[in-house]
Amino acid sequence: MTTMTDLPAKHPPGGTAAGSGPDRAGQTSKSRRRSTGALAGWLSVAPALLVILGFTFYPMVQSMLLSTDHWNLLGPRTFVGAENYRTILGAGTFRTSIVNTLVFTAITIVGTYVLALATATAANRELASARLVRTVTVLPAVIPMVVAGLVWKWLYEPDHGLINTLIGLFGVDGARWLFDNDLALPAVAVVSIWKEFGIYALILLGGLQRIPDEIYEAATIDRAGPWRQFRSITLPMLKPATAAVFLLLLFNSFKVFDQVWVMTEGGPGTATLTVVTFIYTRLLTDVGVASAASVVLFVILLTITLVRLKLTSREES
Amino acid sequence: MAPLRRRLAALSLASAFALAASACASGGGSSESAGPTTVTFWSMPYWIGQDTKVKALVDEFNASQGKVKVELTLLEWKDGRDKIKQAIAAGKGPDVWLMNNGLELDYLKAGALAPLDKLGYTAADTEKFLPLAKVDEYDGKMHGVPLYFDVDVMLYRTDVLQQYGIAAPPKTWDELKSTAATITSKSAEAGKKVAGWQFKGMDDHLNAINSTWESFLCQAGGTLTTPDFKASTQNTEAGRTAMEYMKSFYTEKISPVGTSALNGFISGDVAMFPFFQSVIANVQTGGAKTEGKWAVAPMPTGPKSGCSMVGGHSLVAGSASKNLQGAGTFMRWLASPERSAQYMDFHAIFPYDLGKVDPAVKATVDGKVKADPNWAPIFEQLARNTPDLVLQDRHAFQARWDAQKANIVAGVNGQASVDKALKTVDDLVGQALGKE
Repeated sequence: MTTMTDLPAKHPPGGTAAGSGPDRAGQTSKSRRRSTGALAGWLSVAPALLVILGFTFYPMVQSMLLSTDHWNLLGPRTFVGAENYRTILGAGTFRTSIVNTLVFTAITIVGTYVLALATATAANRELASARLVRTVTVLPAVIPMVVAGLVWKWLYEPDHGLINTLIGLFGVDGARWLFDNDLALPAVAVVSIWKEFGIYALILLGGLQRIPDEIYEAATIDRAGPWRQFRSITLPMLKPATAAVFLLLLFNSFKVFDQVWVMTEGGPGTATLTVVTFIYTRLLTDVGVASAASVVLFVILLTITLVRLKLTSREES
Repeated sequence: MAPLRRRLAALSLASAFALAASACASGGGSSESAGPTTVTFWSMPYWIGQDTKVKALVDEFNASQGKVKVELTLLEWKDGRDKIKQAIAAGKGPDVWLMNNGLELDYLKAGALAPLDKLGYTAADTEKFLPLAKVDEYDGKMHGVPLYFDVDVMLYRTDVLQQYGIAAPPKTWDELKSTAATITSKSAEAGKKVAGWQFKGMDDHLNAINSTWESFLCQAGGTLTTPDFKASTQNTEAGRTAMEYMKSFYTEKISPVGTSALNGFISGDVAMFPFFQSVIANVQTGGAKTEGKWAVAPMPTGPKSGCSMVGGHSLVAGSASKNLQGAGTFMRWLASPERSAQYMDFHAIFPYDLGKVDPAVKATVDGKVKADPNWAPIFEQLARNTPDLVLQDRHAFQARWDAQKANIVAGVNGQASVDKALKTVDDLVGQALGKE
């Protein structure tokens, strides 16, 4: 294998193998410096590279290999080809988990983006209250998701939870949130939105602050109202930040697990069963099936990323 | 290469835990050396309500003799079993660990559990157990020693039943439904809603649906598998009878979906619910809210019988252990009649035949049964059960556990039709049985 350190020595740029005199000495010293620089470069990235290879690449390859095997961790590991893929793609439960994940993703992306944008817009003003908004909205993000899930589980409790107690003050019976097939998934999504929107608001706030004030001043002179300014200036100029937020939200929503497991374990029935929850429930009994589901999830996310990259490069060109 | 790949994969799955476990179990684990033999024991805190009791028992064992030193790693219920399995797959498992009664087929088929005769147990020792201990048999040999049994029973609020003029707990499915309906409707009319009945598992304790469902399926005359354990048999007339019956409590608004059976029982908002008798320890945490206001009854009998699911825990030893004799010594102590009599303090069922134990132990057990009237219905329920359901449950256990959790709840609460829910369970469990 040719390495970066090999190349300059074998093919000195602009010279011949039979170079002579001071030129040759200069090139040797240049080449040595380059080699030392390359070595230093490799050494500095080596720890990160080892971590990525060991904890990302190796498990990924293992996962792909395991997806073609039948194995319960204790018994023999037998090759079954594409059977695990046929099993999950033919199983209604896995299809349900994909649909649930898509619904959860849609709710979370829309809810989080709208709330984050509203918060960022409010925090972008030079008011004392804006600082408070920035601080308060980021607070939920520092709470571990498991803790947040447990707190919200209590809030949603049908008989003595805070939400239904408050609703009860108006003489109305509250819903059975996490136990209602139609409400459970949106109820879990609300927790994700509540917990994460502050972080995304900060990203969008960064984008808002990069929009020059002059553009708004010119628009004001041209008698463009606030809504028109928002639609024609703010949103288009926020596109890069929006793209980053969209991609992060997409990945995080597809990988949702903690809050689902803590709050509903995928229930009631399969109402909140997401892809990662599906994988988790099969991990220790049928590693092959769990791995096949992981590979499917990986392919979905990779496809979305590639499409997104293609669109971005097209827009840039 | 295959074994190497397997070990590497297992190691990668277990790496995080193995590091922690090796830190906990210092001292080189279980090699034979001069001085006391070290036996590693991984357990969940099975003494309900007192998490430190298992450690206290291990300390008591270590202090009682000098030949075997037990090193305890206390795991959490939520992922303890997973951690044990990962560690064993990676070749870093304990010598002795806790396992559900009935034992797990993956371990048995892989030869990962040592039969009791390799641990110094004789036929005379194993004959002292109740016939239900057959749940720990595989290939004609016992592979685990029961610490205690659990059995699904009915708990009821005596004060609530009395308030609505009900003299005795229901004895049949029909009586159960009419009693529950009376309490639910009369309490609503009085302005203080009390759910007459809640199925454990149709609430915040989702996992409990497995034991609840299997009890009702059994009472309807159903089984989990065919006798050869090759096919799942829930999508049958018995399955439909059981599920339609459970579903009717929700469609007829007798029971509210989501209301916590245990918390509601403690607060007086739920009048009756079914669960393993060991839940008594949790009920007693209610203090004045529950003191003198509840009792246990056998499960109401269904169309075919009054059977119910059997649970509890056993001790097992790894066949790869280098200290089988030491492991056996510890297991005989921790699962002895003397200790099992102590476990009755958290309402765990004594697993030995009282006619075959030491008279002093028998006197202790008799004294406890006499002192607490709830033991009589618990033992009555125990006598209704055979090892069959547990032995069927051993096959495709995890697939059934997950499939029932998702689909039985869906069928009972109306998310899926009864037929579809039962068919899905049979399909999912059937696939797993096909791979055994």
